[in-house]
Amino acid sequence: MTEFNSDSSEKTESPGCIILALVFFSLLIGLAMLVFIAGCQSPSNGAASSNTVASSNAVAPQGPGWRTMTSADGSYQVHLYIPDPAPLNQEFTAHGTVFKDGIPISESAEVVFDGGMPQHAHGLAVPVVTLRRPAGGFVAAGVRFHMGGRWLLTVDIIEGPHLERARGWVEIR
Amino acid sequence: MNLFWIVLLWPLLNAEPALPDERVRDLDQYLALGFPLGSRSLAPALPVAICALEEGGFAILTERPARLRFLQSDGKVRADSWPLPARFSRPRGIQTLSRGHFIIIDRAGHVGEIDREGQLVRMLPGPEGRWQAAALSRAPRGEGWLVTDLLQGKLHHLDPDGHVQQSWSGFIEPTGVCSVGDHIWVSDRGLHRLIQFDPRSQQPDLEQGIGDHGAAPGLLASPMGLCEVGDQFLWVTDRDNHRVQLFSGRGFSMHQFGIHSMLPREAQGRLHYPTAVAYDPRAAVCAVIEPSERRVQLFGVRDPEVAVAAAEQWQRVDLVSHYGRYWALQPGGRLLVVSEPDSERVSVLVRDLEIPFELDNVGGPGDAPTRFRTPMGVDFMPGEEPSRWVVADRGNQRLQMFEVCWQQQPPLRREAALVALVRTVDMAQLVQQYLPWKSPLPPRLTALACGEGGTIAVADDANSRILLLDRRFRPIGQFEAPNLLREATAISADGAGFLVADAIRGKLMRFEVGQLRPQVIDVVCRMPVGVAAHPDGSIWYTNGANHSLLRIPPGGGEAKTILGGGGTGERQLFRPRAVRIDDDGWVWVLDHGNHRGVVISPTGDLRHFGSAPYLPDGGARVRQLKKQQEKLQEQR
Repeated sequence: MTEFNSDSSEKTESPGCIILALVFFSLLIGLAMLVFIAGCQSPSNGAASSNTVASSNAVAPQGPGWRTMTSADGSYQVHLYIPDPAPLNQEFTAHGTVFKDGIPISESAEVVFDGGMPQHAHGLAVPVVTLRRPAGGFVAAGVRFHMGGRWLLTVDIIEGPHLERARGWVEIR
Repeated sequence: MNLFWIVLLWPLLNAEPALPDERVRDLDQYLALGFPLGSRSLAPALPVAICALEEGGFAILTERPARLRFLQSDGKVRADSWPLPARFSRPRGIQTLSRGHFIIIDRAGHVGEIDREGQLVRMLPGPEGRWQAAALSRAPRGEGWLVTDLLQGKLHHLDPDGHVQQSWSGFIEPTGVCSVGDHIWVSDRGLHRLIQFDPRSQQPDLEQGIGDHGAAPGLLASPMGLCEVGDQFLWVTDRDNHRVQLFSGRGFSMHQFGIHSMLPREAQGRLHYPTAVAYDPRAAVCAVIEPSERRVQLFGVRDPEVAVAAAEQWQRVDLVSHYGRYWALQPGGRLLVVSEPDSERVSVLVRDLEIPFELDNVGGPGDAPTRFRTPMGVDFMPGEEPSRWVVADRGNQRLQMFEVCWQQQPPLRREAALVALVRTVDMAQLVQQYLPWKSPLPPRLTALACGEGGTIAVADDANSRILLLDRRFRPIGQFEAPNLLREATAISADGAGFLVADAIRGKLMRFEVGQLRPQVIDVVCRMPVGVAAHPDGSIWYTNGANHSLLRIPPGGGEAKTILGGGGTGERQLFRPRAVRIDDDGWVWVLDHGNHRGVVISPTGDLRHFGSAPYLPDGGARVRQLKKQQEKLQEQR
């Protein structure tokens, strides 16, 4: 045991540790510069100022499970993630980001995710609550498609008195 | 010892059960009620309020003309009928006073005491500001009065002199009120529930309401007037289920009577949109008023030995199309959308078939997006592809816009989710945000029309104005006309302006953006309830007062009756509502009281569609068409 401890104490003084410390230090400097540059940029509006870092996420996420929906009047772009293939009768978390004119929606906007099978006249077996996340994000935990077939997914974006809906279909097998 | 116990207990064990006390006997009577005793027509007047008299019988208030009438429990209408004071032209509630007088309320918010001859004894102050009375009842323990206000969704407790003692808010459409024991019961048409609460509470818990929208026993569809019986139970007029239900003070549905009239004007125990009920305990007779049929029906206790046909006890009436008050035509297209408050839905139909085909519907009761609480005015947005239409969702105080991506290709089939929600706007919130619209009363949305350039005009009856929005539901202005416009019952686009029918003022007007005053159309019309502009320059309107459709020639002049006379005949209407005219000059009249539509071609030919028994030939043509369709299907 004593030997082990001493080995470890020797390791702290090894050249590898010094390199690691240097890498960590350089990362810190890089992050500080990023924050400084971001702070210097003039915000285009109030909503954007709180989400400037996230604005670089306006590019649609690629990869399995991601889909992009446009709201009915084209005001919003919704990037929605549900697992691909979406599981049958298993709970999962749907999440995504909503953009308006390429900028994440304001923190005060409400987002409501829902799903249903219009041909069968039912919705989700257990209603889900959609929570807002920073940078235009939202998350709905506990989504469960309890039946195979075509499901209609809806995302409502509510800003003040106005609500606009985006919708899309998903096939569950 | 055993013998001792037997001798001691024998009388107790074999004792006759105690005679049912009076309450149990009363309950037996309530549970056996439903035998049709008779029907009394009050036409052309509409019965609007009723109460039982202490000496037996009923007092009834009518509208158009506003009169006080008396009905005996044996069904005889007493000859004495008295006009109401001028301020009470649209009465809404009546209650007896111990001195033989009555307390009455009027829709405009007047509260007064009248004697047995309809003479005004005194006016009572009532709630301050503008309010719209809907129901009147005695307060718990007889301490004053309860009145409901439709404009602000409130219930007020007035002391015996009419001063407000307490108010409760949060209701959507409180259409009925009564007190049972120490509790207050309110029927809310918007929630389709009965709200029971302790008057000592500051706020009723609406979530704890009894019932919900539906047709099964215990569920409700537009509950209206309430009537307390025996201080333990209450009768509820379940209007859109066309029945009366008995609820216990704990909220259990115990009994019901009445089912939907299947034939026009059918009575004999069948009901059609009953709105109020009263119970005469001396005669064990229930009186139910049906304004839509201008009549009152009396129900007595059934003979317990005579079995009641199951179909008469409860027949499932799916809350489907009744052809409500408003509809709209797709410009240049084949679609028709119909607002159906009975089922809280809006239906989309292909209209150019002899029997219009329902492609899809949207709605259901509730406040979630796409759901409705009393859908009212509806119209298509011009120049939108895919086609879009807007609905005024009165109970939720919002507008909803939908689009329908329908490929006009055969075969026709129902397509779920064909209709998609585009956007909604919370008008109560918007009115508060947009300063020129700010008003003391929340908006009460009714008629709606979409005009040139996508301008949406929606009536706000609570504030006697028409709000204007753009196609993204942003406010752009309003029409007001003090002393001219009271309630816009119908609106339709007319070039750069809007035609407006005001049934309360009895006027037709034309509003245009930029004009300070509307142009009043010079025509005598008592109660215009629908209006539209024809491509030939004429104006067509429906008159609710005498069940007619009239045409004002281009350039003005005397209106000519096109269809008229209350009935189901080919050229008759019964409580007609919306009229819409397509670009080709076809006139579409919503014959609401007959649950049917009437289409008039440019050459004057008539076509009817809708509920078969209400069609001019009693549905013979519909049956023939259905047989043909069945044959075709068999051949295929």
